[in-house]
Amino acid sequence: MKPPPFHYHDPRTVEDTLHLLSELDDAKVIAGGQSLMPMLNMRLAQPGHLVDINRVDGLAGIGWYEPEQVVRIGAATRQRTIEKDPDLARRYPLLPEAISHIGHFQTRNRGTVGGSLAHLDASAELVAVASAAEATLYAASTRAVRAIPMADFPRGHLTTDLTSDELLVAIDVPLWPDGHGYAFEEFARRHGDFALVAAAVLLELDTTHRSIRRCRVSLVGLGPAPIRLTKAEELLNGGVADDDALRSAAALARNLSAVGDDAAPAEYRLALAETLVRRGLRRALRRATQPTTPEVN
Amino acid sequence: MSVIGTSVRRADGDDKVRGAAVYGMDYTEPGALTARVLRSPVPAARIRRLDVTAAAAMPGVRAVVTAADAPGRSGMFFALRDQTLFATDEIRYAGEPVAAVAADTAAQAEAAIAAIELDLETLDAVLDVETALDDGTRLIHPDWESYETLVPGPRRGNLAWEARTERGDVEQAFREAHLVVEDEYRSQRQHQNSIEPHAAVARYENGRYVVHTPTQFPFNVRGRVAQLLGVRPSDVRVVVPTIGGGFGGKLDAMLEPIACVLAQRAGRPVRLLNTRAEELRTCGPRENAVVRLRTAVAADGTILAQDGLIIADNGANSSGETVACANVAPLVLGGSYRIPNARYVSQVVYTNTPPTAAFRGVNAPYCVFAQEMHLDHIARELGVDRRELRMRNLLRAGEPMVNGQQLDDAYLVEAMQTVDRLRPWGELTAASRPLRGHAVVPLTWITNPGPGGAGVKLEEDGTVTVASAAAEIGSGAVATGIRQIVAEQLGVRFEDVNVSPTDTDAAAYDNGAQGSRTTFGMGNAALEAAGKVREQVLDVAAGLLEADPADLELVANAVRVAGVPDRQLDLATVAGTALMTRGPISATGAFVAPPIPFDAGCMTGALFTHFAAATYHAHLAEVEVDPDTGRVTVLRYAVAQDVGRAINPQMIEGQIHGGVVQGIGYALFEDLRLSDDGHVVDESLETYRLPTSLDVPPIDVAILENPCPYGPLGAKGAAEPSIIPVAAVIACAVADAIGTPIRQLPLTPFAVLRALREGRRSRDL
Repeated sequence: MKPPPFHYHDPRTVEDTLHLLSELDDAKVIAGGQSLMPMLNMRLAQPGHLVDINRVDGLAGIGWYEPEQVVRIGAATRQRTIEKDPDLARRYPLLPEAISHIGHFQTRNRGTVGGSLAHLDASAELVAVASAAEATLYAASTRAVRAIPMADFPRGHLTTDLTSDELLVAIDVPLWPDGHGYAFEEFARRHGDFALVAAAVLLELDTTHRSIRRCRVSLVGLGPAPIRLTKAEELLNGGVADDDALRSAAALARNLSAVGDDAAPAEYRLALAETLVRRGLRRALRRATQPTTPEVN
Repeated sequence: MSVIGTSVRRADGDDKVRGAAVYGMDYTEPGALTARVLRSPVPAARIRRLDVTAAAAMPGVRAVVTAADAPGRSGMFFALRDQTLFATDEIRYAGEPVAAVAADTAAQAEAAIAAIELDLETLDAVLDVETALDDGTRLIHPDWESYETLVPGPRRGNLAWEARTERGDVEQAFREAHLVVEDEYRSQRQHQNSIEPHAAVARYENGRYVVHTPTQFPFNVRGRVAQLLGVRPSDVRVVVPTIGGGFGGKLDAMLEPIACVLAQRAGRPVRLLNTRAEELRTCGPRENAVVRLRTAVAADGTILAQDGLIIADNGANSSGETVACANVAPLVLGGSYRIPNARYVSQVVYTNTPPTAAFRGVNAPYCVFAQEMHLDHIARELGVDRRELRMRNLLRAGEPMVNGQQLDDAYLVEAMQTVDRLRPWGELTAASRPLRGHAVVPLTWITNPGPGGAGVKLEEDGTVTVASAAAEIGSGAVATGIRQIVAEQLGVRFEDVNVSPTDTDAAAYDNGAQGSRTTFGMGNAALEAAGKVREQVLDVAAGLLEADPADLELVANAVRVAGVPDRQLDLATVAGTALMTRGPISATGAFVAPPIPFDAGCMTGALFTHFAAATYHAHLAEVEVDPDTGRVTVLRYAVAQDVGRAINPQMIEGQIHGGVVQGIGYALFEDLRLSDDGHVVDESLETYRLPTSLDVPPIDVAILENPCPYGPLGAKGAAEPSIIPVAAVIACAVADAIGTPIRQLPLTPFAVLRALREGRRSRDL
């Protein structure tokens, strides 16, 4: 269980990193290494070069852009930093809640936001959040910096829209009004296992607190890419926020298709999808109706 | 103060915690070569051609061996000799060794393995026990009739073995019954998953094989290596470094004979170590099984008769102990309840799958699961409380179990009552609500009765050394139990008793760390040896103290005249004097469990005939089921366990906790799946799921002391049994929670959700 031989590069600036990526054939970026290292050790990935961005300045951090109403997260920001950030806990609590499900705290101490998105595991928590959030991903190369909407980012199983010379540098997450509802629901066989299915929910009530102004529901674990449950969103948007509506919306998950494998049968994943969406919507609605002080982990 | 009953610290704990212990997989020898095994890529094939010429000529390759180098035929416990070390003409499972290479480096060994030319003609693989038994199915061992057996056993074709236990008039009882209930249950394979994989380092020295291996049962490995290689057992010496877990998986020879034959051919030491994937693919898991039970009961729930069929998967050969333990199934089915008329047929069946083998609680967990779910079915039909049904049928002291063995010390009622004090059944039942369930299960179990011998000597400094080939499997039986027993007998400090390293050359035969027997069997042998040493000490001291030996006592590493504290000698003085007067103080002891009367006439094909030093247990579980996901959460767990006498309560509690956790794994997670083409699906611990600490509920433990007249200081075996009732009690609790019976293990969320929905549908009809 040792990785195959590779050349190791240790750039200190984004510029150097991008040059390396444009010059090297068969290079892989390594940040937290929580997915890549096991894949190397199991010889599932055998890149010729590893470009380590852990010492690159300017790739980590959380920035608030009030006029644009977005929070920008550097790609190399550790998951644990997001999980423990008090401002995110207050203003975008879906992110820390989702991240608390990733692996174990040791995993999150090393794992990065960008690493998880660029790896694009079929059941990754951050992929579900980025999908529901309609995040924008920024990919830099020596040629340009490109903005990629999350909806266009997945290209297949563990495959993204990033080209081989591009580095994911940051993501922008559009903010929701204070007091919005949110929930992250996940089912895994054991604590720390890959999720079988996970659902991310964002929800905003209108001023009467009786109707849903808008909501977003994303699922991971049913196939290679996250699935936005747009039919459910359409059903709920502008409608009365009662439990019947939530149940009907969740039931639409049954019409999705899922991939069965050694970890779980397809029909079970669909049953989970409905359950997790229903629970997520309920919890999000409860939180939107009765905003409480967010818990900080 | 007595050291018995105190939780002294284990001798090996410090080194294990600090990472200083040298485990089997850490051990190597100067100049050792690295070995690799060529394993069959298919489950069934005829070998058309096997050519190792090219491989043998490759750089760094020092030896290549095949079936031609290991002529012997063997089987676990020598019960049924149907196994060769390497596939000869026919391949019988995916992963079966075909050839092995020893080379200077791992890369060279792997290159040589890749260069071996193997031409196979694939055969239809027979992958499940029911197909295997069908008329006309291809015979997996066409030469089955020619195989030698330890005792005659009914067998034919793909039926590798059959054990039967019959008593009373079953048909008559069924005719007169108030109610007859019939059920079928299925269970999966469970992998032992010791943290340390199998490892062996062998050398050939002065015409003998010397192999270092972390085995639970060195003398078995010695005998099996000898049989497979066609030499005498004494031509093999087995030395045991620190063992990184076994759970039954390290009872048998596995890599040792391969390393031995390679070392002999290469003239150099050879080290062979399994990968985790090889562990999961090839290392003798608990057998999958089908259990069919049909039971006749009276209107009040009294069991009148039971007819049971157990079909266990032997896999491709009898290199594991599934055949040897076939009759354990009838004994455990008929060991806890009064079943006056019984007929149990236990079949062990060949398939083209990796051989199954011993796993803590051999043959029992799925039999108990079947029996207990079945009893709940009966309770439901009769409208009787589940615990009440069990209490009515529980064996009382002096009553016979199914083999006619009278259980003079039966303690099942007490065990059930103890658990009831911990978690009162009445309160649980009164508080019952949908999706919450509880269950309680009694159990009678064996202590392995096998033989063992020990030597004890008094050192010149007054300390004591025990020479023993017992293996410290991790339970603390050697690291604490035997030392406590000897310390007690000789009045020395526990810390002043050492135990020799485990080596078949250095100590008498020992029946291995299996069936909870080390504290019991080796403890008895060491106790006897220590008793003789005590007499020698008293004899020498009596002369020096000018006292009658009968007036002397051994206390605090000294001999003193009872009641006269200033007339005493320390043991070093006694030992030193003895050297010059009578020679060194030392003695040996031996033990095998005394014969127990039972009805031999009621059993055929039985290698296990009775329960020696029987122990009595009750387990209770409380669970909750998520109705939307099918997830089972075990909320609480309680165990009452008879250990005879608790030598070291902390070690016993550790074993009980470990067994319950391993049982939770079997109940909820672990399933070593085979694909439709006969390959192990779960080749890593990502999909072969073991429970984690977060899956473990609070466990209440009550240790019961119900002494065994022939146990050392009253002790019985304690380590093995706590795994056995766990799947049964959790499954019964889940069935209680969802109102639908469970017929298959494990209780995955998929299976539970399906059962919930089917139950709902059938109730809606």
